[in-house]
Amino acid sequence: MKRIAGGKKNIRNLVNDYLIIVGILILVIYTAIVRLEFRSGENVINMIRQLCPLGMVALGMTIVIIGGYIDLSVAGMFSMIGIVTTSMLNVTSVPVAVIVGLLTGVAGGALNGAILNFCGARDDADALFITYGMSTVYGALALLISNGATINVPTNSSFLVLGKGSISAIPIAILIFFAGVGILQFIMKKTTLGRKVHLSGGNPVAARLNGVSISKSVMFMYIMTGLMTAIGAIILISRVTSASPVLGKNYETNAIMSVVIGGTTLKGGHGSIVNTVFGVMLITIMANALNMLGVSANAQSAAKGLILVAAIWLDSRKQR
Amino acid sequence: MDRNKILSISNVTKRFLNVTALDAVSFEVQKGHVHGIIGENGAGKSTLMKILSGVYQKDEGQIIFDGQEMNIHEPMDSLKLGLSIIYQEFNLVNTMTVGENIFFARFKEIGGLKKIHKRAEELLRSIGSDIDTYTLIDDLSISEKQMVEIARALSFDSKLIIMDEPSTTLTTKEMSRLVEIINELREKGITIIYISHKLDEIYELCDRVTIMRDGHIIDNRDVAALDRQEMIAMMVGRTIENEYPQRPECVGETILQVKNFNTKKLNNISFQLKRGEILGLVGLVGAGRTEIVRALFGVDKLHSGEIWLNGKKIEVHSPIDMIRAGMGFVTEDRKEQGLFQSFSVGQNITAASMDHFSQNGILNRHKENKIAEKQIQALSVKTPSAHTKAANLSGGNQQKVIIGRWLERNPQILILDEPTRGIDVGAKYEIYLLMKQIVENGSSIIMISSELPEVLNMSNRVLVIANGEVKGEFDPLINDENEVMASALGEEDTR
Repeated sequence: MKRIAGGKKNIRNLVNDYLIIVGILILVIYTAIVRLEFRSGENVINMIRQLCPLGMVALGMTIVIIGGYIDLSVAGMFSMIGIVTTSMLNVTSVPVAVIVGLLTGVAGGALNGAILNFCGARDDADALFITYGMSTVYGALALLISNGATINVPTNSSFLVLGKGSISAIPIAILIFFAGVGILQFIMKKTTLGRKVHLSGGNPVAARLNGVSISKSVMFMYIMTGLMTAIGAIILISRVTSASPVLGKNYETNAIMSVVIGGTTLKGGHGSIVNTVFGVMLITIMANALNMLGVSANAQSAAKGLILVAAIWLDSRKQR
Repeated sequence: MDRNKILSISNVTKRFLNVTALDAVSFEVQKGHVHGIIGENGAGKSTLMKILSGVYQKDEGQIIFDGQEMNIHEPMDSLKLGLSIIYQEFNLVNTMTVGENIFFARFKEIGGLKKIHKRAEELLRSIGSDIDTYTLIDDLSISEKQMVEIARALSFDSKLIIMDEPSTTLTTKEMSRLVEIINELREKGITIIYISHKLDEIYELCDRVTIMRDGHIIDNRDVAALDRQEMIAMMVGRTIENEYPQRPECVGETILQVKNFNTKKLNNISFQLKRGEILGLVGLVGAGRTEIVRALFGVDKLHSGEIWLNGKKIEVHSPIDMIRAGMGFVTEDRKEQGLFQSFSVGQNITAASMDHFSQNGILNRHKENKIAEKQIQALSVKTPSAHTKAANLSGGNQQKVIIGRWLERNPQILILDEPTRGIDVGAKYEIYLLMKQIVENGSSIIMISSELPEVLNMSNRVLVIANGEVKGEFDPLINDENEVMASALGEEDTR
């Protein structure tokens, strides 16, 4: 039976659905009024640079979530890739170090996918626990390789151009990010591979019966997430010129939050790379605003956790 | 007030925003009758029942139950008045025992757990069931769960029990048990409202029938005074000359040979399929019919067995192999295994044919839309557009979408598992016509169905499956329903 809601109810639903986005916008406007430096060109460029590492991870996360799974291992993997890449930078040339860093991400993602396929994991609950375990493994590897110490990027390395350089005032990092957005948007919307990921996420049983190989979809989406995480980690260490073994802490939370606030449903099957870009923007601007207002890091973490829960609640509400 | 009326409904109207689900509905139910309500999906049967049970509130009208005006606000109220309803999806707590479920939330009134189990046992025995009251609901079969629901209804001293399509998931044997119980209840003076869209059951069980369509009552009649054609015509609002089209007769040479299939549930299954043939697989629920086609389609692993297609042996590892070999599979569970509910009608149609509108892995949306439009027209799927969400279509149209998905591949062999389950009479006929068209175009069909008349009227040949084995082969032109059924039930059930 069709339901046609009255106008009043519509507005209330709209406000409810966009509650978080409206809340963040209010915070941003408030900050822009009380903290003049928030609006400065310098801070805007700063935010754009900050956005890229999280943005990359969130793009990968969008693919896994559309495919009906989730990847909590990005936090540990992010740290591991950071440590591996900086270590390599200290002993070999920049291109080799970058390639090793990227391959580490691809290998990590492939391992995740292989384990999930091996365990016959067919829903996000299995993926949740398995990738959580893998996050611990990757995080521990980062600590083992680095002996728990922060590793610095060699000074004056041409590597630093990735995170700090610009082409006619546009940060190189954001160019890489938007290239990623374009490529992934194309893969997800215009290729059979992307369609198969959507179908697997929408109804894995039916997808298999229609000739989609779920195992291949799983491998593809976890490898993509690994690769995106690697690019994100490389951009970040290039900007901050060092890698701590806990570099990737909270990246999974922030990435999932960006995806869900962007409107991609955790149920799988539907979502959009482009929407995640807006999610990442909101999260980054919010973090920056809270910093400007002098909110402590711990309080920010608490706020973010609550926002994530609220976002998931709103998502499940929309399903009904 | 007529003393013989247990329920009298007058001018009841229910609107949902601006959709009128029930429009001034009036009818009466005689005490001690089994009263059928029949109508297609969306006719308003369920809405009416939910008003009677207190889930919905009526907007207008009057309901008199057992001589008193009924004014209820929640399901518990109707139960206390002596009116209970057994829904299609049972209302039982899976992790609790049978006894606890029967007296759910009434432990104190009855006086402790022990007494509950004793009373529950008495109730179950009174309807001839020997379920142990300490069993968990989880461990019961569907028909046993139904027994528990009936026992619970009796525990409220119900004068009227409403059963909402109780037969949907029952096997033939379980169904005859249900018929016995309903007859016993009628003898005890309990009135039953029996909702169904199966004509056979209405004729078998009911004294009187109310026919509903589009939120209106079309007629109330004594079942004896109403013939089948008339009842169908009233249900669908037009005359359907035949329930089945003329049986297609275009059987050719053998194209598929299944040899010695063995799996966990199957035992040496062998059969052949000919070009242009409709092969019916008959058997009780759980006999292994679905397992055969799942194994054939590469969904379940074979322990041993061979598949020969067009004289060549083919290796099957997953459904992809069979799709490439020219096979299609319409599953019995449309919602869980067939449809991508949240996807558009178009994307559902094209889901198995990505190779038809892509080149080097890149999709051509324009071509995809054309394919979707083509199948929507070819099958006359009733949908606002190809972009409508598949979940919003009626059951019959969803089924057409899934059949269209396979027809796009022009399969040599199409497997149809319960193709008309949960579909209206009118839409059923369209599906039958489609099947006829498919075989006349040179494809073959393997059809599984629990509705014996359907199989016998559509198939060229029928295999009976029982306990994972082929029990017999029948020619529907020669053998009748009873012979086939006797074989399906196994020798111990034939007299």
